[in-house]
Amino acid sequence: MNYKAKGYNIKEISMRVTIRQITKIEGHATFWGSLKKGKITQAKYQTLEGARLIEGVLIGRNYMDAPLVTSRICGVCPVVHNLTAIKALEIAMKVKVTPSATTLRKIMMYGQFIQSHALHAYFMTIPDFYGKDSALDLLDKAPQQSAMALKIREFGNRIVEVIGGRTVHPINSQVGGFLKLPERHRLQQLLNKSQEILQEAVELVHFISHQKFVDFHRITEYVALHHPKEYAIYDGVVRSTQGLRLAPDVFVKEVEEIQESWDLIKRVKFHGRIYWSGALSRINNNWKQLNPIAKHAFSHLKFKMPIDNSFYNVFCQGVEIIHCIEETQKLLKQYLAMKNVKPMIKYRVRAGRGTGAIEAPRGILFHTYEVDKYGILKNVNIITPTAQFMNNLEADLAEYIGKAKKFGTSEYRKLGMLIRAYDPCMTCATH
Amino acid sequence: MCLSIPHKIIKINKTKATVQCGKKSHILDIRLVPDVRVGDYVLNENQFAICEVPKKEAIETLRFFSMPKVKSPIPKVKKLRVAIAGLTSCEGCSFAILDLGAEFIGAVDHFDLGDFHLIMNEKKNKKYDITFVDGSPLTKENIKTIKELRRRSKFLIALGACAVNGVIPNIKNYIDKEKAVRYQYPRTHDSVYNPNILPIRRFVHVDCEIAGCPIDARDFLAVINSLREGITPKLLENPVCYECQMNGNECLLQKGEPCLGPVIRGGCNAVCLNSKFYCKGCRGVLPGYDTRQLEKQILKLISRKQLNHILQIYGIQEQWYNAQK
Repeated sequence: MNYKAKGYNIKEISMRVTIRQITKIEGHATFWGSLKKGKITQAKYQTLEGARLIEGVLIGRNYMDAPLVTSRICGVCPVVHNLTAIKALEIAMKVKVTPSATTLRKIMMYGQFIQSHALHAYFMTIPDFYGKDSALDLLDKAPQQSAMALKIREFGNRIVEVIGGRTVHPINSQVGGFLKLPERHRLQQLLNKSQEILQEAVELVHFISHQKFVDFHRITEYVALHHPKEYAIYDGVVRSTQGLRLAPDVFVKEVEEIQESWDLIKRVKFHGRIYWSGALSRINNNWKQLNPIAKHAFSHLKFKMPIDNSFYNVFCQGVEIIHCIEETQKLLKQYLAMKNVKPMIKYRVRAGRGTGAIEAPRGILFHTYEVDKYGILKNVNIITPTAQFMNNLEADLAEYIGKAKKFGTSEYRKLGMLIRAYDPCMTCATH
Repeated sequence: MCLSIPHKIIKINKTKATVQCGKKSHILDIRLVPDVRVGDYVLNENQFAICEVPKKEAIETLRFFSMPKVKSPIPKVKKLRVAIAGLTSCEGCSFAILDLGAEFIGAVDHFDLGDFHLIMNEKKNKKYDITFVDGSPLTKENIKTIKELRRRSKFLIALGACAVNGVIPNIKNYIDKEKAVRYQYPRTHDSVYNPNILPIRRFVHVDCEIAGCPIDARDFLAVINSLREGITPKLLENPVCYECQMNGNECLLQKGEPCLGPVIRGGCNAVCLNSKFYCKGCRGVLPGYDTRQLEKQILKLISRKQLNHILQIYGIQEQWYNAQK
């Protein structure tokens, strides 16, 4: 991080604010903003990842390559890419899986949330609150909490491994179900361990809630999936705090993917509007549907809804960890009580088009596929959460710089904290 | 007395012989080797000469023991400076390392870790003893970075299939990539840097390669611990087939699936096969293995185009066909 500690009075000067290499985020990115006599003229966030052309290389390949290849878009959220691809293909080919397969996939998603949030809401963001740059410093500053965060991430990893076959890049999950059912005794072990992990999560979130969050406000539109019966993660329609209500395949047709010549990320706008997508957005829309212990932990901070301070996304992620552990307990019990469970159903490959939408840890992920009657991919479109909230992040950064009375080391750190609060995933955005 | 050091016979007196070993001399009972003469070499066990060592072998052995210790390229200092850097990739290999959890923290405690951007800022350690790099060089900035990292590091390790072979973006090398970039970026394709994907070793010299998508984190530990002891790391040389059989899995090749297991480097514990997913070769073809025989068997199950599609995913198509020359 380039901490150019020049404390100028912004109203009097024109200057550039640069963070050459943003750290403690997934992927590589750079930020620069410029001011002219106190007015923001630019706030640009650019990816440093190369063009892997994941959409382009899938054309002409067999549909079964899609879950495998798209999982490699990202190393921290491969599960959600894998499952969204499978969901989209099943919609395209009109494949209906068994309730047991859906249950297992939902538990995998909760495992993904737990592992991703435990890493981000603690190791990547909390060092800043201590004025430290390295997550390893937290081992000295907050050893108990560090141990708890590690255990929680480990629990999330275990869930994904037991059901998906491997922590990073799952193997087992396929169109039609699973290649192999998870071993029941291992699921039982997870259930037995879950209560202890739940207690640690509550303590950890309590710790996070006591951190001194930056006082920042900028209201925007908050978009999330919504489901009538539960806090939407695996299924839902697209909803927002400004009255949006659309099915995912319609939403995907209505958004604009804007291509800039200076950046590989195709930024998203909905009818010209920019929006937030992520934990903060989900909480703003669906907090009433949180599980009881998570809701209790959330109410501790007595927010006036909707929350308009982006920095609190970190706390929202913590609350979601608790919610997901409670959900995992419910669903594990449900699955273990099921009889005559089959791993995979038989299905026919047919031509079709389908959009799958699942809430990833960082926001809604959309995969759209068009296959022909032989199962060859004809069209592929992937819209990632980071590509959706990139415009909003830049607007927040511009607002923050514009409102700052001076710009020194402390302001640079808070700028970094704002970027990290969003939990941007550059490799997802730049597929 | 060490059993491996030959002793030279200087004098024989009936059933006893005086032997020389370095600066020391001993008296040994030679009744077990009655045909020895002065000038011969024997091995000593409990003051008995238990066998004769051929002269050539004895001299060679003694020469080895008198050689000065060969210095390893890595200096044995208290804390080695280690970097875990990345180019363009999904960073799954970095996460696989982080997922070692407490083991990672324990391993890292022995090193001075830098440049691991997932959990820290860039440290001022400009020079590194060991650098792990994951990802492929896709942008001009990436290429500059890898060349700079090579300059700043004593020992460079290509981490993961992206770094070793190129992986999924490598598919670009086999399709009309102009068409692909125009499909993904219809309006701005002109400004997209779109070269063929080359593995890191085509840009700089690489000291060690750990393939896999993602890597098996135990490989990382094995390599880093070997280097700490000053030993050049060496990966397992058995095929995936071996590990799959040890796990008691049903053979998918015999079931009619195009499994590449017989020629692919193991060390992954056949993790995909354990989930009934046939091996697609992310850890690379084993050096010295001819892929012709397996190819003949697989082409009875799928077409050449389908085989190539499988090989392209983890970037091993070139390796596969080169192994047949």
